[in-house]
Amino acid sequence: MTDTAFHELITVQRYAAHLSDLDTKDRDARLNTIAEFAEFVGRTPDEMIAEIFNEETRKYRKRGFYSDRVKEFSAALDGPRNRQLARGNVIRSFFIANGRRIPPEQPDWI
Amino acid sequence: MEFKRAVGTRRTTRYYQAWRPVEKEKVQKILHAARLQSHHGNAQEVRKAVVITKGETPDAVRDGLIDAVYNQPQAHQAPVAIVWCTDMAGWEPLRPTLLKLIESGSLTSSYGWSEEFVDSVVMKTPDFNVLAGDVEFAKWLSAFECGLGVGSALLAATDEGLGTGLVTGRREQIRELLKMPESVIPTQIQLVGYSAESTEAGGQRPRPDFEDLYFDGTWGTSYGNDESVVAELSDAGMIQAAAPLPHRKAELRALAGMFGLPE
Repeated sequence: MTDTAFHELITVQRYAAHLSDLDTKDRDARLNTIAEFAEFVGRTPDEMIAEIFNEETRKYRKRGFYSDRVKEFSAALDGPRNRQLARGNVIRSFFIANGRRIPPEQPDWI
Repeated sequence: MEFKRAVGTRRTTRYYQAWRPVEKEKVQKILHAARLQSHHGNAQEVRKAVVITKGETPDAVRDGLIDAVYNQPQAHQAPVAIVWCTDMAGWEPLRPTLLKLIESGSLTSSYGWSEEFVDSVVMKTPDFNVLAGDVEFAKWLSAFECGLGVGSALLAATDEGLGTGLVTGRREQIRELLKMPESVIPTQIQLVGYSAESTEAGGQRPRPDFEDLYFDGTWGTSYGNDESVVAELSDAGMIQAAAPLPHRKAELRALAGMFGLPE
């Protein structure tokens, strides 16, 4: 998918609107993380949002799949645990901005 | 804290200092604030609570409660959860309770109160003795009376310098988890802990206009909202700057980062 096509997706635009208070560098970094995750799971952002929730039954259907992929994706980052967690949370924020929720990982100290 | 400032400062806290326990005496004061609230017929045994404390209540019970409130992050964080409930069996001693009110000089003969009046009128009138009538009304009134106490408990927590807020949950799961008898219905769960948010917590939450809520004499005629009274309440801290304050988004991002949560 081209960069332009990625930014034109409605789900990406919704998430980008959620980042309006950030500077360009921060915003681009987060959007880039979404693009990397989309590639990681082999789906477009729009497909991810459509797939995780069944509109007819009003129930989640692939939440476990995405929850596991987010953990794998964040754990693949070579860095400290809090940076890995933050990377996973960018994906969770993307889902939240599009009305879907992947349960966060509770830090051990809580 | 002055009453008006406590009312104005209360927020529904959604981020708690998970590492900081709440002093037991503060929880006790919160419970007293509920106990001393008004109650229909002074049937105070309707309004009850179970306190769940991190590090004291067995982990299995606390974890079960967190699950029952949909694993909301603030439930993980808050060291104390007060499970407010109504006990329908608490209405049964209504007669002796009313007689005590007569004896104590609270219900007076000038207004017609006597033991005979209690037996021949009050106990036979469903609007007063709710167990004599429609059970749905009895449940509704019980929830209303419970809410009165919880309102005081929220303000008491604020007065103690604590963060607090209500969450809802799966009531039947909570009832079984806490081994409540059949007569008991869990209502809302009050989380208590030291707030990780600023005192303003982003500002006072949006509210409908006063004029749209309160009427004078007849439905729909605004009661009127005197500007000088509004100014007085602002000076006293009851009416505070409305949300969102300019820094709120940055504060939420920082809180999310601290708790490892998505933004």
